[in-house]
Amino acid sequence: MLIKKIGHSIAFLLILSSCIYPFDPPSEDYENLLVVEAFLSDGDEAFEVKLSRSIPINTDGRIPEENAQISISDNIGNIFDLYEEEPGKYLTSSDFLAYANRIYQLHIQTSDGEEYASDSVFLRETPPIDSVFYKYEERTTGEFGVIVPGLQIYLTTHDSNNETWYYRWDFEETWEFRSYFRSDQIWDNGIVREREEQIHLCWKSDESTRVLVSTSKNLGEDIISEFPVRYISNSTDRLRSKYSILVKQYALSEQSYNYWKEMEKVNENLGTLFDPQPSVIKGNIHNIHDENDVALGYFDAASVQEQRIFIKRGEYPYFVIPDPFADCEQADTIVGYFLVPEMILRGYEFVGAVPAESGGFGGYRLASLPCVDCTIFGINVKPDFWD
Amino acid sequence: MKFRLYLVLILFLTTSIGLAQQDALEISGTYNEVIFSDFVRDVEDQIPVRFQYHPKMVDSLYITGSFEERSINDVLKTIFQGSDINFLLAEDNRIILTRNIMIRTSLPINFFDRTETDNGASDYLIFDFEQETEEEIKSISTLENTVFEIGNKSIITHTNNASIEGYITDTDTGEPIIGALIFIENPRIGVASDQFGYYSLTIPKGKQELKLQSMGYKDTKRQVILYNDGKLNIEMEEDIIPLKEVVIESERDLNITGMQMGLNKLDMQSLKKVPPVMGEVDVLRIALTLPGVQTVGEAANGFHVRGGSADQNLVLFHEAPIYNPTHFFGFFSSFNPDVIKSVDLYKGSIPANYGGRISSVLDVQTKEGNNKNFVGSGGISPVTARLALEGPILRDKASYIVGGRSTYSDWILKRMPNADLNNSSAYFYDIFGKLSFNLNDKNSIYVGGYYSKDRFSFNSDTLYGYSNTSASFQWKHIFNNKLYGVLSGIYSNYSYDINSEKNEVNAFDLNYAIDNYIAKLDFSYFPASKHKIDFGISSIYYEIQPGILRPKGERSLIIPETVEMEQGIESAIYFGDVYDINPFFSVYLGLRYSMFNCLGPQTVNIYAENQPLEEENITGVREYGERENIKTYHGPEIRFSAKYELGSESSLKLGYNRTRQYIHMLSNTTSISPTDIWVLSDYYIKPQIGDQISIGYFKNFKNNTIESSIEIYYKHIDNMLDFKNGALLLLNDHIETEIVNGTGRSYGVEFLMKKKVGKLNGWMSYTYSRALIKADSEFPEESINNGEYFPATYDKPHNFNILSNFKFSRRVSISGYITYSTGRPITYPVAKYYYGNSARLHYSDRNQFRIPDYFRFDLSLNLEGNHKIKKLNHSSWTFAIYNVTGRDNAYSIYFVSEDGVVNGYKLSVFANAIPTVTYNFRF
Repeated sequence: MLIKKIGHSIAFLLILSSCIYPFDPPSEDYENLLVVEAFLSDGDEAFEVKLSRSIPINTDGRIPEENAQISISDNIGNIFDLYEEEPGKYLTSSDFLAYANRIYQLHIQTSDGEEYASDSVFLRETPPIDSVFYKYEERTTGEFGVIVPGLQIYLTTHDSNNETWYYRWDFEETWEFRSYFRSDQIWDNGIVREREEQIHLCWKSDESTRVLVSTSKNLGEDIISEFPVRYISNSTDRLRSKYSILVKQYALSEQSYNYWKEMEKVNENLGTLFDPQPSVIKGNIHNIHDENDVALGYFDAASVQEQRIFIKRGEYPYFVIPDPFADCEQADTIVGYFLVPEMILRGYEFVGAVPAESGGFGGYRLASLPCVDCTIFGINVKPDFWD
Repeated sequence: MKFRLYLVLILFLTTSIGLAQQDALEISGTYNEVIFSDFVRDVEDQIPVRFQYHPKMVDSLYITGSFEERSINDVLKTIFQGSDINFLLAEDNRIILTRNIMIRTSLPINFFDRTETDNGASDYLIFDFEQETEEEIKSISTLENTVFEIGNKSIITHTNNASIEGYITDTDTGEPIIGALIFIENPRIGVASDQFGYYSLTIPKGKQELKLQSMGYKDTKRQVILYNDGKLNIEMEEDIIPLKEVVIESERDLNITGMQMGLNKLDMQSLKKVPPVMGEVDVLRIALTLPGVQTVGEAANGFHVRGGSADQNLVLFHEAPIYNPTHFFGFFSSFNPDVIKSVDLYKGSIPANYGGRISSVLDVQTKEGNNKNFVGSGGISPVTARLALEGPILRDKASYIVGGRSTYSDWILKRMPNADLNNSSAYFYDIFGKLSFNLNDKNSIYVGGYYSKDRFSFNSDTLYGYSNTSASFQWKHIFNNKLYGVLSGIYSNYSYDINSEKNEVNAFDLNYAIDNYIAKLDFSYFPASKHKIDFGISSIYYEIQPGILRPKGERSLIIPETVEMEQGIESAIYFGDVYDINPFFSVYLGLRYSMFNCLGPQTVNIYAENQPLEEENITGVREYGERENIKTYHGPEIRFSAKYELGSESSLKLGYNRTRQYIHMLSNTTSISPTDIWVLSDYYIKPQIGDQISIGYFKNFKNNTIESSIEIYYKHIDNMLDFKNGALLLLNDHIETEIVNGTGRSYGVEFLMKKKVGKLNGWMSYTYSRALIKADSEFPEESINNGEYFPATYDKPHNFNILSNFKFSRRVSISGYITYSTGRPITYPVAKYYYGNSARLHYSDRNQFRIPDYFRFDLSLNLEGNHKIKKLNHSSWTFAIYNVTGRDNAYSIYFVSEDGVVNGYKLSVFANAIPTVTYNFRF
């Protein structure tokens, strides 16, 4: 909390000569470990556990851990088994219900016979979020110190019972965007027809990737004030039209708070002159026969509170948000009827008929696919929550 | 020649009247250790004079000198300079020699009057040679050829030896010269002057030639006849052409003859030849060019000596311990080069008078103010400006020096295009002042004060600040020729604070502070020619405020939190003796006994037996009252070294020393951060104990102009503190749960070769060394890397340095510095996994991977102003390029999860060549 990114700035500060270069890491002493992603919330939603294996650091891709036996038990003697819905993804069946203020434990037996158990975890009740709001703020980015405008989204919450103290959040953001060209027609083997589904207006969603945790433990009251959840600058198109963010709040135990804090420290806050030494992040899932075999991950349980806000262009002070599709202006072509199949073969997408300057039919416009079809980047069905 | 005439003139003037008639009595002659009676015969042959004296009076008087047509007055005056023989030149050309039995420093006030009344005439002239103050006789060659009689001849003793004491000072500034070597050749006996310029040398009685050598000064000598214990103050002339200066210069021969091993002395003249970074001459940066001294990276705060951690270095500035010796996170040392006199770095064979840290002592000695003239010096570089002023308060009796330094980086930052930077602020300054009083021959007093301050913030979020404060008082008293003592009272404080106001609910202010109150009594005793004894006692009272958190502003909800104060007393008594068994074989035996009392009030956590010290194992607490002794640690510290000379150009040295440390810095960052905490040994934290054994072979070539040495050492450290994974150190009232006890082991071999004179001079060194740590416990929580030895973060096995200086002319020189070292170890990820929408890394064993090797080449060009001595303002320009090749040395390799993927990066602090210009001046 206290020492943030001193390093980068200080380094620049002297002669502007510090540099950060990409580094392609060799893989050293690869350790193949079980990774458990398991979060239990109350209610009747199925409880999902994802199992995978760790991979060498210079590779990519999730290796699912298949054919494991997973069960979850509570402190009043209920045991529920999970089934494998898809490789590495396990779910409880529909009769499963979880309750706040009960204690749960996860049990995993992998296909090679190793047995893992989590610590017992209390399903906490999470207080509701007070508010999610935003402010206009300028930031600097990159080495050259370009000042960019943007919106900072904050969250304020509290627990009037003074019982929670530790919080974690994640969010899902969704925004509306339009393709550069609006195409209402389709080229169907020489016949121009109206499109059955629009590909001009789309919605895209993204989930938070950073660790968002905070504590009010050093305050006299259980209040989190103006926790910065997300900063959106004009370097993305998220704010070009309409944007929505759904913030979810989870109460944490002190132990799980420490887990996430370590995760943040070791994985997100390095690169300063005063880096802490990265180290093992201790989870709460252990091999019951081998002390040294610790699964990666933390089994946690809490009820979920959420709040969604919408941000429309025009609600905040105007600033330029560049159109990511601006290059499309140069990426279109207008051809006659007989050249259309040729252009489609070359990968162009049909936009529609364009009038000539003098009026009347001027030809057909085609443009590269991303300039026409927004479904390449998002979905063209309006989400349920969109208003 | 001109100078000599001038001198003669002065003599005439001061001796005034009645000389006209003797003007014709001029003699010429060259005498080389001629006995006095032969000299008399020669003079009587040349001029019509007759000497009258008792032969016994001059039986051991030898004349050395060359005179050309000089008046007999003058010649005799020169000859008897400093002796207790007076002469009378009577009207009838008789020369009558008389003797004062007492050693006198000046004539009785009414001496002349009395003589005149007694004789009723002014026919006789009485010369007393001690009447002229020394600065009136500036001719060094005259002084060198004069025979000084020392000691009261009339007291008959039966010892063969007698001692000479005195001060060695600078001719121009009157400043004491530290570490000047004063010695006789046969038998080879010598001592170095101490921090006050004081020496005491016990040598066989009779005629002796004292030789003097010191860095930056011209070699000189004195002819003495030693009858009994006596006094001789010696002035040395600064080498006006310091461009030939070598970078690290131990006194010539001292490489071979000195007892010390693992000692590097640096003087400011030499330091100024090393290519500067950011235009600042930096003591700590220079220390890093020495074999056996490492740093974890370019901008890293702190240094590591022979495999020791950064808190194991005792950094003394004007006698006061300094806890954070850097500004700007280690880019600059916090010592103004203009007030530094010299720097000693003890890497091994630490003398018994130092204690409290395991690995090294970096003793930065400050200048004494010029007690003759007002002078100033300073410099301007791209980032900083500095100025030092010094001068007499009372000529020859009292002087002052003040120096200050500041940065205008804040001003520069505000003009940066980068908003990150112009929203940031960073400034520092330091000031130092010192007063010196020579009350009389026996008593001197020194008072000094120092303050350094750093403050910085980044993007106006959190503001950090730290400061060092110290004050010291020293009283030196000379009991007699063979014994003197220094009483010191020292206060030192290090504190930092962090505050943030951005979010008013969370606005806070956090403070941390260490206070030291030190009382010391040190004695030096010179009983006989073969011994030099130091002994003394010291006591340090520590008070640490480990953290106070306070809300800032009315709306802040921060709960005030105070971690309990820590108190302790570290006491020590020591004795050390350098014993010259024979001219070739000497030993130093030192014993220090130190004791630490951890004192209440304090609440000590009690942990379940046979359980690891973990927060959940706390079973209760025990309250200790005010001044109640919580825990006592004590033990002897043996310091031993021996030297055997194998002929005049080589020697073999051996050393063993044990050191104990009761205050420890805890850090879980790679380099020291300004917010690391120091803790005292307490109920759970044991003192660190270090044992080092070293052996060295020293050889000089080409008439001592090339020095070489090989030193091998092995060091073992018990109770070295390391942190547990994920340790939280700040505001923690059960700090013992965050740390583990480790064992340190380091070893290495250091090669050094120096060429000290000639147009091309400099040195090169190669070091192979390892620094390993083991933390093994029955509890896995308290083990690191499964209890195996692992490399420390500063373990850099190969280290190669070349520093050379080429002098084109007296005014133009160029210096180059090349350094190479193995990359430091880092903790490296062993696996990647996906968790919470993002790829993450899994780290396992500590320090199992190394960042790329380090290489750097620096160059600087020094242009001196002209060397006219009388010029009012001496200036010099230094043009330097740091990292000429622009190599992007890695400071760290690190990985971050960004937008769901893991990216690896290499951070370079100085990735380009950095040119700077510095203007230095003296007036």
